[in-house]
Amino acid sequence: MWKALLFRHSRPWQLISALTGTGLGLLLLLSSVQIYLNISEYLNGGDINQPRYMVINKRVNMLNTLFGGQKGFSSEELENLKKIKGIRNAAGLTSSQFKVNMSMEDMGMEGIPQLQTELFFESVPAAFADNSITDFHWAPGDSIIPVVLPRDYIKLYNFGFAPSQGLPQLTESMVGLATFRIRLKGPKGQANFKGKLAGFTERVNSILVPQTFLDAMNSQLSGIESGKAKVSRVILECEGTMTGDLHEYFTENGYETGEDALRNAKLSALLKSIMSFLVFIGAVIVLISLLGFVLYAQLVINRSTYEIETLSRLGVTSREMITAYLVYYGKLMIGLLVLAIASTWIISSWFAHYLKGKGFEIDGGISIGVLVMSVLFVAGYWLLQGISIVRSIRKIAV
Amino acid sequence: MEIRFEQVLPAPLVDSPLSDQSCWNTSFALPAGSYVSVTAPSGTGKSTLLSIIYGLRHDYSGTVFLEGENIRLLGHEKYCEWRKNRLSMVFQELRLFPQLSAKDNVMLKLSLTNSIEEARVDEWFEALGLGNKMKQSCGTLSLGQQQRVALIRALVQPFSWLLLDEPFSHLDESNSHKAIELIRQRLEENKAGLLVTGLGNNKYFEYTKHISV
Repeated sequence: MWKALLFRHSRPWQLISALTGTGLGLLLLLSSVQIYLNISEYLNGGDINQPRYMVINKRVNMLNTLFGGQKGFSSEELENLKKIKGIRNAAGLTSSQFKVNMSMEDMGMEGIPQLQTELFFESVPAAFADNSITDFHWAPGDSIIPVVLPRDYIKLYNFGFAPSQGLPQLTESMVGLATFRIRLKGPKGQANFKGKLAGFTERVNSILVPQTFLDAMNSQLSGIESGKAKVSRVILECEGTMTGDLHEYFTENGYETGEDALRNAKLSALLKSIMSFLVFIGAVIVLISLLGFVLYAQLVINRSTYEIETLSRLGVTSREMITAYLVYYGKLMIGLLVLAIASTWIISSWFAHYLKGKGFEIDGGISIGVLVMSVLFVAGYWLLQGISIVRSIRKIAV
Repeated sequence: MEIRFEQVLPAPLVDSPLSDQSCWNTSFALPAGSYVSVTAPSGTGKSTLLSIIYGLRHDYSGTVFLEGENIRLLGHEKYCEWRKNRLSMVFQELRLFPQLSAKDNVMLKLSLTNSIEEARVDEWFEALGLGNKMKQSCGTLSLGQQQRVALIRALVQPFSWLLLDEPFSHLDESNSHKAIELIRQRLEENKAGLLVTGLGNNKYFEYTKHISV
């Protein structure tokens, strides 16, 4: 019965505007965080913490061509690369220091061409190998070498080479069935192996074999100890949230990379900064409107000084009055939060649907992170409101 | 519940001369169940005396004990408990809620203790000539009517001491008598003491003690 007296001085339209402000700020904050997460997830191909890989080399100029000599990365340059923010790890690609001839074994299948080609091998340290490719191991004594090809190669074959030569198109799994004869020839000897396609990768645009195999063959066929071969290309493991800053660093140092990767990085950096800006604005609005809300509650209490004083004289404790206020505002805030979460869900799903029409597959819905943030938000608000209410009531009720 | 004052002096009176009979800065005890009349010229702290006992003022030197406890150390929660069950007070400024009806003002207090039947409340309204005013909002009642509502509100709870601060200042003779009748009845029911200001040396109650401030 006495509780109604505590809210006698609420003004409905003031309450509604305080609630609207807080609700809109909350909605802006939650939905921009949600969309930020969805976009980041899209840009990083799934997990925001998933690293991205990039291969860089030094720009080749006329002097290299005329006077020979290959540009390579010194170990110092490698160390410097590792120190750059956004780069988690860096390692040189090892390239084969011997000639490689690969030919297809006759599988006894009509229509499958007998191809042979000169090529080269490169390898990356195990830490950089694509996890999705199994059986990418070689130990001394093994006669079969697993080989990984860039996924683009099979497309080139299927859509470029095969039609022009009247050859059948192949699927990835079919190619995996084939074995190859591999002949290696270096200054110190030659060796024969069987090759088997272990898988395709988008990480490195090269023909990859296990590091152990390449080290062993470089040493056996060319006398070059492992780690001594010139590093001409470097693979970088970058943060999922890679920024466009790398581009500047690369240009300054004369490094080159696939422009696509960098353009994507720049674009996503731009998108992310726009979204972070929105999150920031949302946070500011929420903070201001929250303060407004707390001040509103304060105002109601100050207007109710007579009621609070008198109730305390009648035997209502300040604790009971504080609880009444906190329960009331807590209910309002939770209601607001539920509305904001529901609206965020609708907005994010609508946004996903809208982008789908534009050819982007991003997730809709609400992530756990946003829900956790909402709960933290309510807890934070409650704390603030609680402190404010406790202070003012204690001052009034004696 | 015994009330004991030890060398109590309100801060506002520190520099003003005290009369010889003044209770300030002396020590005395008011035994449970005693009827005490507080007399004094205005402005010497009659209301202050009641406010100190009721825990509303702390700006004094010395110590006040209620049932042997130093009231400075009592704490808000305990005081609120006592204000519901041990101490009841009619404030000089009445402290009603003007927007609530006369009856609701009383029922609000009753809802905190639930110590008597609602029917008795109605009886008391009738007895004090307010039977037809129960539904009227307090703000629209005359001062005398408000004073009686405040009195009824003070009487619906159980108490060991009833503190009345100038309770009949706006009542005529006949209404005062009706009120006194009701007060006597409740004092006896609760076996409570009475501390009343502003009645001079009247014969309304059989005072066991007179305090001058």
